[in-house]
Amino acid sequence: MIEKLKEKKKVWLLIKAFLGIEGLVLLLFGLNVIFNDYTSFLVFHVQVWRLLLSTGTVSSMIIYALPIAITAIGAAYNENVGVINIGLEGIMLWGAWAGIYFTFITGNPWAGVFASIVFGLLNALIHAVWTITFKSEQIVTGVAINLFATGMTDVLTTLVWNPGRSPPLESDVAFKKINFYDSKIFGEFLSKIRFTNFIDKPGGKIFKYIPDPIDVLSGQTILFYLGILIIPIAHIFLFKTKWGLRMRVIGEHPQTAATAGIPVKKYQFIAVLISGGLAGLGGAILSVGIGTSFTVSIVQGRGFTALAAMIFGNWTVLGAVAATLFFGFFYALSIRMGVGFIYNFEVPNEFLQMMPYIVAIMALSGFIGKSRPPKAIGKPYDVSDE
Amino acid sequence: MVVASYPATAATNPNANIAIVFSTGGLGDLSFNDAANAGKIKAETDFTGINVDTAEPASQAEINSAIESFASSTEIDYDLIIGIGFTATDGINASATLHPDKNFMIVDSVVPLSNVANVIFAEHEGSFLAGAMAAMVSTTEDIGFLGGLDITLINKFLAGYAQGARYINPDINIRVAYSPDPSNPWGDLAGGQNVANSFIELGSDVIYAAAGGTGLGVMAAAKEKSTADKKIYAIGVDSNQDYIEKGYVLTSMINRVDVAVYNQIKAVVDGTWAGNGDSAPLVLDLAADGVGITDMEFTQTEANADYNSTTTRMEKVDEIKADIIAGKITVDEALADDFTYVFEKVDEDLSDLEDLPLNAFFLFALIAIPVFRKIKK
Repeated sequence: MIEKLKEKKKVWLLIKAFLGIEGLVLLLFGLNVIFNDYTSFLVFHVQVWRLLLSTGTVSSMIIYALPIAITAIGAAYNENVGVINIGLEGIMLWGAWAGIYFTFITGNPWAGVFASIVFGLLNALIHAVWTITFKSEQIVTGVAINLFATGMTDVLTTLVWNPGRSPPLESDVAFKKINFYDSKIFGEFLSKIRFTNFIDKPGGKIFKYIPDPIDVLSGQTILFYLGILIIPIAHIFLFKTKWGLRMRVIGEHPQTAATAGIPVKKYQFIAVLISGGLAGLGGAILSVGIGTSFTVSIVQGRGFTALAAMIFGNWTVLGAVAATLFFGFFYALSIRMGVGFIYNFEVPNEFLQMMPYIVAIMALSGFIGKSRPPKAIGKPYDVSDE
Repeated sequence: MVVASYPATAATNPNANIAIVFSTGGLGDLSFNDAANAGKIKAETDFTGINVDTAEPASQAEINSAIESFASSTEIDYDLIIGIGFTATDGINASATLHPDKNFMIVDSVVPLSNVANVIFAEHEGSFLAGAMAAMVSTTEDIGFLGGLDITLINKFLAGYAQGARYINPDINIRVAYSPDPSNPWGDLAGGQNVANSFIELGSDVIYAAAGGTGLGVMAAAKEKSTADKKIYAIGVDSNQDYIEKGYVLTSMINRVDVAVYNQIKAVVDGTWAGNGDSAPLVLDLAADGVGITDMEFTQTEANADYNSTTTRMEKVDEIKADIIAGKITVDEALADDFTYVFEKVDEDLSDLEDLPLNAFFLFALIAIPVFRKIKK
């Protein structure tokens, strides 16, 4: 029977995920017994599952994940044409900085977002020219972009504002937070189907324990929703169109692609530029889409997390997004367990903080299955080869 | 290398060379470093002859090397090297051991060497006032505390805050959390916002942040989650942070780092400077005006609301302050291990479960394991 289940890959994945979470709950319970005292396992178990499925957890998971997901999609594009770009961290930082700076000087957040994308494209252009035209080592160029971004944004922040951070944007300049329940057309209807309305009704208790999808998505800025829209578009472009197919062929075997008449370098340029633009946008979502100010440590490894998520997601767009949600989920969980959503839970904070990384390592070491990179990854394409 | 030696008490020195090494948050943290900088600027305007050099390190290693490069500088002979914050402890300790002829000062930490002046603050006393104000303002009888790291220094803030709150309301819930990202505890805005949102969801309506820049996230969350009928407040720390989100920062617990820095520079200029590493450190407490809370410029309605029929909240705080100075109230630096922060009420749905014996679970496991094995075959 197990063998039969294993054949149905998606069902098997769900079972594995469920068992993984159960294992985690058991581990946390064990830690709690060591550090605190014995509490009823059933109560603990029910509470953890409730926390996992609460509206707040899901919403902070999405907020954490979206900027990383957009960058991870970009990474999926450039790696699928065989170019590694670890400069995405730096490009995100540029995007975040430009978003706030140009919003400040123009008074229009859309100008900030536009500037973020332009800065992303410029950085990506540098990377593309260096690695595709001049065939330099891709990792080294990426590191250079990262170091340049870290230094320059710090210097520019100090020159323009205070050292270290910008002041917050005034609320009439920043993107408005859109509350679905206040909207004129759907507001009344949405307020009626809010889960909290049904809790007291017979049989409605279930609504107390599952996340309300409208509550989860409500209260974000327009840029945030546009960011979510990018995910299906990017997926369709890379996996359902002929241009996307060409890109993926280039990543597997550029010589074959060239033989078939595909302009390899042109496609590589386009993919790297798309990735830069998306990473810049990811930074903008972080600084003007979710927050209202810039700090030099605003990105703090999110670009690298995006790369890890992309690998975790097996070089696909949807996989990368799922992986960022996975990281975001444990990030949200580690915060919310640490602030006392669970009674009698006194595991030291450090254990909760390592949780996302432990889970990521466990997951990467065989939980999901082997990931397979594009064959020609990291190798500059040379026409004279073969 | 020729290094002139300065005895602990020198003659008047109007052209003193001072070096300040800031903490990792850098200038613009609207907190510790900015307060130190204010002291430096005041000293520079009062004593025009002095020369103050500063360093803004970005990491722990850079702090240590900045202190050492000031101490071993042959071009300028520094009369006093100031380390801001406890992150400078190791650096000051190493350099002061290596250069016994140089004078050092550290704010907020203690280095037991005779050529170091240690200045610490009675943060617990200031936090006591903040806690009392928070307890008076909270309508949900539920307040939060966000610390940078789970360390003795930060827990001093927590201890004072909790005691102050319980002094006003013995039944108040106090929720405690620390910065979620230990690699970036003092500058993680998003993390601070996340923690604050969780607190608010649990019912807190006043949140005290002793976490440097991470606290700015708490202020953003307070602004975002406030509604017309339910206001959420943040409490700032170290310097006056009330203006950052006007009307959403209830008050700030201030450490007068500026006073400490200014006094030490003044002592060097006057020639009265002396290290105190081999005796007790200098404690700036409520009586010495080294700590306190702000006058709540942007939250006057809360400050002037009635605490009881005769006194307003601000007057009550002043009363408490006088009592602490007079010794009528003693504020402990640490809380007892069994201090109850949150009076937990187990959820109705869970109280049924709590009576269930755990045996049920094992019973389930006992049945499940053979069944599972059978399936496997």
